[in-house]
Amino acid sequence: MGQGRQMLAEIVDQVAKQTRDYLSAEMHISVREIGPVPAAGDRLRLHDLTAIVSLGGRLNLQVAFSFEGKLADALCAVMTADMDGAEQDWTLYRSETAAEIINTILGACATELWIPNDPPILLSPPVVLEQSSSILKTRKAIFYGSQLNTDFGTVYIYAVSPPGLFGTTEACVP
Amino acid sequence: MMEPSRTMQPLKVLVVDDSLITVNKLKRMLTELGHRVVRTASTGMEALTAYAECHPDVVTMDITMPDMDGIEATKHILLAHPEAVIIMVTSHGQEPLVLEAMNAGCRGYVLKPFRAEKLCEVIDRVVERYLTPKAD
Repeated sequence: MGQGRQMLAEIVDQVAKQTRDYLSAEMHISVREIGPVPAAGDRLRLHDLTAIVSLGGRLNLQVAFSFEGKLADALCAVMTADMDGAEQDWTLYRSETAAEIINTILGACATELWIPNDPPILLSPPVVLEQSSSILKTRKAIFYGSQLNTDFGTVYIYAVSPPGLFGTTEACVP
Repeated sequence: MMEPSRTMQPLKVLVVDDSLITVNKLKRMLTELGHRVVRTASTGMEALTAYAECHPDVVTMDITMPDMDGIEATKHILLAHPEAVIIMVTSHGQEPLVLEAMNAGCRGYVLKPFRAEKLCEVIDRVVERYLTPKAD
């Protein structure tokens, strides 16, 4: 494995573990298995709901959480359990749930990955894609993926460097 | 059922966050603590206008937002309203960002995911220190 892909693998591994812990502690959903996404093929499959964040600083990459539909629904149900009116705006709340989850998990990961005396690792606001698709991997991009299997379905975590594969243009802030 | 906040009277709160989930969560928690969310804003720019219009006792402020981030919004609000009491509620826990927020003038910091107890603790501490008149 090349050095760049090794770095992505380590980052995705950390993100996957944080995701497993978050799903268990906050969503009460157990992750049965964590495994790599096969790297074969020139296209990257995005599932029913995908949230994407760019991370700046020394990382300079994009991370996507791509949820299978039933898992997205289960997460939204837990997240909105105490909220009135969520059923009427289910599509909106489902997207907001994905955005909230990726923002919270990657915020925690950035804290773990930050090196003292380095500039902070900045996160972009999440962008959410609401339908499944496949995108062409560009030759210049390094990619690594992990999948977390739960009883409700799978979430795929992808990291790509440099950012841009997912076509979003959100700048890192602040 | 949460214990009511120890602050003497209900606070007027401005909630600033681009996440509908977080806004709803904070509204519910703050209401259960006995406070009143008078406005919400989803960008830093909206927060400036909202503060000027509703003059809340406390602001909860996210960092990562489109348009203008929460640290920048904090600086602008305090420039116009030095009495403002702003608490960051964010997923960003990196030391330089916490320091930047504190240097910008925020009075408290709550990391996501958060529990009502932590929110209450930070609000009570901030109110005690910055909003409660001291006896001479």
